[in-house]
Amino acid sequence: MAKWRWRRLALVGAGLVLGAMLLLAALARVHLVRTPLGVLLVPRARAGWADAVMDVSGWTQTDYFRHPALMASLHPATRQALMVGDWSQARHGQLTLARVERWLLGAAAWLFLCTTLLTAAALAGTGKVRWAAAGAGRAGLGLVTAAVLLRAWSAGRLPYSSLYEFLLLFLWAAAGALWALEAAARRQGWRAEPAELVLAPLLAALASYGAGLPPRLQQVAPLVPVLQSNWLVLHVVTAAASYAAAAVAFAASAALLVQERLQRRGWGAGLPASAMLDGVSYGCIKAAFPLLTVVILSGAVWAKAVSGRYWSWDAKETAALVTWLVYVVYLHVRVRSGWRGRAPALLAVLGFAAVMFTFLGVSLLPGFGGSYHSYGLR
Amino acid sequence: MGSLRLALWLLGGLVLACALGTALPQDSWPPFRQLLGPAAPAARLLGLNRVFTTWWFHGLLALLAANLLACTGLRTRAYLRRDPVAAARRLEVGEPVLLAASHSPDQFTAALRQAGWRIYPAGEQALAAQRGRLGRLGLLVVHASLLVILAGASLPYLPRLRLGGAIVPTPLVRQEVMLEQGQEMTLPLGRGRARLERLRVPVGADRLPAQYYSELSIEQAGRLAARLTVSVNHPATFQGLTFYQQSWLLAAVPVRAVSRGRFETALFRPELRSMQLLPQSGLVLVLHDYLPDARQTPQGPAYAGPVPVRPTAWLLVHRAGRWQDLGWVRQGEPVACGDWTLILQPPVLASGLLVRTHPGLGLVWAGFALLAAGLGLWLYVREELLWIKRAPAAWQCWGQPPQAAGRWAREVERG
Repeated sequence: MAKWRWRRLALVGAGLVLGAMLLLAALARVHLVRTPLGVLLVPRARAGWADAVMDVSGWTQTDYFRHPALMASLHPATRQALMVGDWSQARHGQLTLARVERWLLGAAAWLFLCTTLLTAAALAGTGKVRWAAAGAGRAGLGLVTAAVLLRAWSAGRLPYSSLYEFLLLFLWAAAGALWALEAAARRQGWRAEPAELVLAPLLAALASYGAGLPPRLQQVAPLVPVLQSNWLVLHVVTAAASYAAAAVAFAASAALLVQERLQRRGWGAGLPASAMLDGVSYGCIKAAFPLLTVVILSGAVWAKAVSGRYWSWDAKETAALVTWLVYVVYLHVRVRSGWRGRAPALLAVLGFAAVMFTFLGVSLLPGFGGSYHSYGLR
Repeated sequence: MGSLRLALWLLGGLVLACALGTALPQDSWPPFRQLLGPAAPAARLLGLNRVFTTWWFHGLLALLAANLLACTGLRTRAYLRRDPVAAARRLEVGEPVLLAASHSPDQFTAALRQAGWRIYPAGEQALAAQRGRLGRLGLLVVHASLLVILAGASLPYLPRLRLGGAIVPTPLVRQEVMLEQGQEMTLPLGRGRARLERLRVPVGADRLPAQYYSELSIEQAGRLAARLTVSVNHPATFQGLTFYQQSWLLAAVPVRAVSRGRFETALFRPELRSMQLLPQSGLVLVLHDYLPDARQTPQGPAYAGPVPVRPTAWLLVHRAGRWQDLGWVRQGEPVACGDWTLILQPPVLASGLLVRTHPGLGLVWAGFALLAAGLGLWLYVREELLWIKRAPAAWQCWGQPPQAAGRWAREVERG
């Protein structure tokens, strides 16, 4: 009975999230105008969704000059920028879809933090706490889904062209993986809390990082010619999926390492068997590795179509190769040499460190501005 | 040479080398020196400022290739020589799964065949069964595919091979050119001449180029052989040569002076504030500023984008001993200057093209396909082996993986 109640609640929650998303989308289709009588909503009739984000709200410069109410609604700095003809400055101080996404990601970060705390409580608590942890995780997934849909809607394509958009996809896939992990554990009757306890804070960190990125990096930008390729879509989507699978493998491996240490000290009774976590880690790397291979191959084919070269030892390319090689070593020692437990778990942790370096760390390297992969940061 | 231990050491070395090549500035000495300080000269001696072109990095790759080759050879031999009965017999350790003695060997054989197993009888009282044999081939295919990719990628850089037209169809050619509209270039390998008929640059919503299209015509022996359209991400191929769209630019801004049937043209580089003397008219023209795409603001024209949509130029002219400021002049709009009329013409665009051949391309593609197939086989097709033996009281069954025996026994019992 309780199960059904929670399911109903989850459905209602999903409905509320969807409704909120639609409401926010509708709000973004109108222009908020401050007048002496209060805030008016003016329908935005002139521009498409992409323009709404790029050029404030679709109103043209002439519209602002013709309608004093519109001009009055602007932030003084924006108004000044508009008066001198610098339209680009007018992007600030307005309601944009990117701001809504930021809010959604911020809320998702809090929910993933709640998932972490509730999962920690569920390790020693009752089934209800476990359900609450799962519910918070699903609500977080719902918000991230809303952010991804909103971005796809505003951009008119899948979000794949910048660091922020890739972060959205990665977060979405990883939150989906958290849900799948929890559902699989429940169906098969084992406890996934130790792995969830590692994955949920990682999701919270990613969501808060995404929410905290500078607005400049969050804006929807039209695709430059070099990014107009189906290979890029395959490249980015498989990268997000493989990173998510690697994140779950990392979570299971890190949980295994911590759990073994706790069990050596006589703690951690009732935790899942190490072999189970080891199996989860191996299964996820078995999924991540072919996907990583597709990422590298599709990137190579795309690079060939653009520049006539498959490989140019670009920093991100090389970091991706290093990640792939770490997982090659993992699979060799596990499949051919039959290693189990601690050593492959350490390799899985190292592999995910390489994934995160490829995703974020490479951008911090000197000279990354000249990289083929620096589109999202320009 | 084909050992796993050596492979792991080589992979570790490659990871380290790649990590160094990623973390340290490459092919640029000043930032490298700034980062490493006094250690920079020693690091330079080791080639750490150009890791991916050093002899030791190539040596590492070559060693890894040799290791892969040896490993592939060893495993192929083991795969071909493998006797399933002997392999299954070796499973006979540990606790077997027991089945009722009432089952007959024929029943087992029929049920196993129906479930897709291949049967290898071992006398009257035992049999081996195997399923998913291709899964064992997966790792081999992955190794072979990496060798094929490596061969395809390194083929153009090897000394000229005499391996026949099928493998080395054309030598490696790489030529970058900047062609203005109407300009021609001689194609490599005697493939004729290419002429840039037109460069189209459609503008996007943000006033930036949405794409650039070069329309080329290729002539061979004075006849039109082909018309190609090349754009970013969409190269075109002609007789083994591939044309890539790399870049575009405004090559020149022409300003034409016209007077009673006479005319002359001054060509300006848009990024330079240069001066041009028009000999017939005696005018001296200065292109003070140029906006390829100008938008109107209360303060006058302002920059809107780099694509020539609404070109506007600020011109100065020296005539009859004094300078005259003509102000902003739009494209096609005549401006009187004494007896002469000045007209800003559409800018001359130039297209940056790369022309190259791809020896070894077929091998690389074949390697990619093999790699995908091999990974699928290795990771997702699992070889299963059964050893079923009659004991006095029951049938005993061992499996590889161990769960296979139990699963099979349950299927038989259900059947």
